[in-house]
Amino acid sequence: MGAVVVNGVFVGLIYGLLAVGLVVVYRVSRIVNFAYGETGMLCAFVFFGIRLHPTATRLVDHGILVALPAAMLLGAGIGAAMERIIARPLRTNPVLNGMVGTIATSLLFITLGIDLWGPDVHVTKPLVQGEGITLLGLVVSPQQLLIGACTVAILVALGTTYRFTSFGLRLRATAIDPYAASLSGINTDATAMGTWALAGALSAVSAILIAPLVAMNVVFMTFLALRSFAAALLGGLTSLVGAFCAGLLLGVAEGVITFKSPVAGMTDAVVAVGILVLLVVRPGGLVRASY
Amino acid sequence: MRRTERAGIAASLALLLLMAWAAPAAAAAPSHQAWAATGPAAPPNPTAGNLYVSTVGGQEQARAFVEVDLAGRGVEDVAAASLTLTPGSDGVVADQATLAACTLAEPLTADGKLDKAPAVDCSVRAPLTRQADGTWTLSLAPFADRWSAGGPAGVAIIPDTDAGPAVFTVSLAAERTSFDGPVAVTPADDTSTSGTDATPVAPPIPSTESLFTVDPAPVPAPVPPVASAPSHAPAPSTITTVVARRGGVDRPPWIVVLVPAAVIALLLVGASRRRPGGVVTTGSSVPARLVPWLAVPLIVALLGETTTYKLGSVAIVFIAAVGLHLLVNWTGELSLAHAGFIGVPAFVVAQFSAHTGLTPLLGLPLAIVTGVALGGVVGVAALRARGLQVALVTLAVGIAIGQFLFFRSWIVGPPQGLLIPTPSILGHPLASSRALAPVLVATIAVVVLLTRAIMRSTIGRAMLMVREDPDAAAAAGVAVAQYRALAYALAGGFAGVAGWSYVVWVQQVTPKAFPLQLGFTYLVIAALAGPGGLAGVAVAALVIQGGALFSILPGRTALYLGPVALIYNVTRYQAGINGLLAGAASFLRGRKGAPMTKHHVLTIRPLAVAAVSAIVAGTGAILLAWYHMGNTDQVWIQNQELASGGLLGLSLIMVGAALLIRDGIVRAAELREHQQPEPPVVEASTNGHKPRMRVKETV
Repeated sequence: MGAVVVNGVFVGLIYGLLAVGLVVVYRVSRIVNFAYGETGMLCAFVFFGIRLHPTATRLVDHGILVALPAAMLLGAGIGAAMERIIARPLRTNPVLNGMVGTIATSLLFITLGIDLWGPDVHVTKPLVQGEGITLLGLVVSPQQLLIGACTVAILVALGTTYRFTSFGLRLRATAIDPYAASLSGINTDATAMGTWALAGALSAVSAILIAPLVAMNVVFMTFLALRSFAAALLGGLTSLVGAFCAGLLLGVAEGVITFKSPVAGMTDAVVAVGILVLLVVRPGGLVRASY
Repeated sequence: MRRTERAGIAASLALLLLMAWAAPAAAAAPSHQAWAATGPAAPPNPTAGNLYVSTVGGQEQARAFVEVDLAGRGVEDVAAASLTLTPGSDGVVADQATLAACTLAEPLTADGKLDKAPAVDCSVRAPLTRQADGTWTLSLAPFADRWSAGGPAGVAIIPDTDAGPAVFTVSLAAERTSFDGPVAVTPADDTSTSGTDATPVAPPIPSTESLFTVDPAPVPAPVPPVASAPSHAPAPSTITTVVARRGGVDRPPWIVVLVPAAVIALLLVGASRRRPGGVVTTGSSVPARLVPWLAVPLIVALLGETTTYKLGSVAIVFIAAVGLHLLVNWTGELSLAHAGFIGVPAFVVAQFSAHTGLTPLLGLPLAIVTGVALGGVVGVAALRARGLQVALVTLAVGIAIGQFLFFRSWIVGPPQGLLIPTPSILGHPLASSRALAPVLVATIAVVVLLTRAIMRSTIGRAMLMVREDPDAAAAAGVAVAQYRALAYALAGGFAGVAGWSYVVWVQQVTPKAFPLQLGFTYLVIAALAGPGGLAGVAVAALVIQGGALFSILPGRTALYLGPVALIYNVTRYQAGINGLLAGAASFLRGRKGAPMTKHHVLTIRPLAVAAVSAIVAGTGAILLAWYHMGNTDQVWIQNQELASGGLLGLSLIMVGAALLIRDGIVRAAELREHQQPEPPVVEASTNGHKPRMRVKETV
């Protein structure tokens, strides 16, 4: 049981990591970015394409120094483009239109991915090598430890940015009231675009961290992202910590449910019922963000 | 409802009735269908309801048997008749197979898989012809004398191992086998399209799979034809002659049309009583209201079995999209679980029908109740939470349906699928799509009338208010939360009707038919349709689903165009197809941009009408060419169609565009005359600077 919980925590870390990226975008544009996972998928393919390319490996392990910035730049570019094309024209329109737009984008990305790389599983390479440590009778791979460390680092960095930097202040002001923020001299367009770019880069990093643990094909992020939507919703959609904790909770719950009743789809049914009950009892989600 | 429209519906149903009465033989099904393994490598996992003909290494492994009920038909009738077999989805190299038929020596006694193959007499033998749409036809002329002499009226379909490849398995959907009465029979010497001539392009039975399935099966590229002279067998016309049919023994399924007609008549009477002397408003003209209804029986009469089947699939998508249209474009909510909302009622109907043995037609109330219940579950969340969160709830519910419910055997049935009885009315079986068409048409008529009643009622107005501004709606006394929940329940109800229609139409249900991505396809249709009436939904369904089924768009273009159009639609042009249609209508009437003088309001400008009809005709020509391309596997026909239809269409469109520009210039000139009778003073506005127009003159 302990092993189940530990494993669930690491699955939950992935959900939490993705949910945090969703919340970052949601806070500034009130849009749930359905293309978040697919953005990361494209970036992960580019990353491993560069890293495993013969000329890159000849530089011995310096491939990562080229591949990681390239993938993050691509993610940031996709994010910024989505803000310009989808989010900005919709600022005055119903939020649901934005969701439809991002759904369409995700379909587009999957089609593009299939055309570029085919539907098959691709070879990846672990980011770190090593033995791993034993925790509660379960061997934790260094890859999993890396995800944990990176997630915590990203969370701390985001929290610091939001709380202590000028950019963070502008972000929060834009999130609370774009009109008032623009009156006080904040370039809300640039702020929103910056946030989307940040989230895009974040999705790239997440996908690169996750890819070696799973079979990397064009839909490897899609199903993880579906679960992280639930996590973001449980966490109240606006709170970074709430989303992260909900993701952890979901991961552990999934592990325990699968362990207790190995019936296909039981987790999904429980999640759906749980969300329904939660929204009826507490429509705002578990955590209310205070910005 | 206008009187003209009532007349249109009545005439439409009357025509359908006449057709059903005149063409009963199209619904005649063979009396027994079976198959038997004749070798050790027969298909190991046969699907219930399919027949198999198989060969491995030149050795026959399975053969199929079809027995028909001659019902007193004479020698001439049988000689002019043919048997049409539709391939199932689990064939192997079926498009290159060669089949032959021998007459049965002993009668069939059972359906399905036989333990012992009945005796066959191969002294009477004929080849089966593979049509361009993938179906197999067998002319019954060689068998007429033998059968009329008293032998069992049946054939065994065996692999023709001398002519074809050494390994193939042909799967035939028994439900779709039809015995066609007197038709234009393909000449016997024209049956050489099988073997090397046929190219593996024509798809098997089309499924209403999502346009955006993750399953990345690309459309197979047409293989160039073999160097031999391209001979192309003309598809036999299935337009039956009324005279020949009238003498038939089968009684027409008149009840098929009469019952829905009675229901609609009741609805009409009710509607007209409630609104005595309705106010006449200027709307669309009389023909515009009559034509769509009158076109329906005409279309059904002209089309063949496969095309009818495909169009019916589009119609089912339309029914499902209507529910989502009410939800998305009228209430401003979003559902990502629509695929599940359709799938679960479909399985409920299938289970009901398979367990009781009753016709699936009776399952309609069950389907509606299931759909409304599913929508209501989501609606409960809509009572409390805001739009965006409810949308995420629908996603969670959709995933739960797809991952949990669709893996439970108590809902989806055994792995080989549920055996659904042929739909029948009072014991009269409706075995072909053309026989089932009246049922579907009546369903659509009821759905359209019901939806329009909802749209024009208090409910529709309240929904619109909720969409525009929930706060204002609440202030005006609209119970916002309740109407949101109601919209979800309505969407579920319409999805239930669509699920029921799917079972009736396809008669095979698998969870694969309702993937989560299918819900996105429906969302695309609703978003493309835009706010407004049902015309936009119909066009969007035809474009998205019809485009996928008829392979109008080459290759994977649709997979890119769909999302791009959707993004453009939600961000830039939210009026959608409904907006386009309204714009085109008002443009044709010459209202838009015309000066507000009396004599200009309702003039029809011949130049604009000619231009628009040229563009419409050009688009039609291109679509027709694409349609023919999609329905043939002969590359040279494809190229020919593309060249002739495409060029003609393009030139028509260009002519139309030129006319439009000319019309615009003429109108602008008229406008200037009307608005500015005296030329304005130019110097005052230039303010001492050079007027800008001068620059152009010096160039």
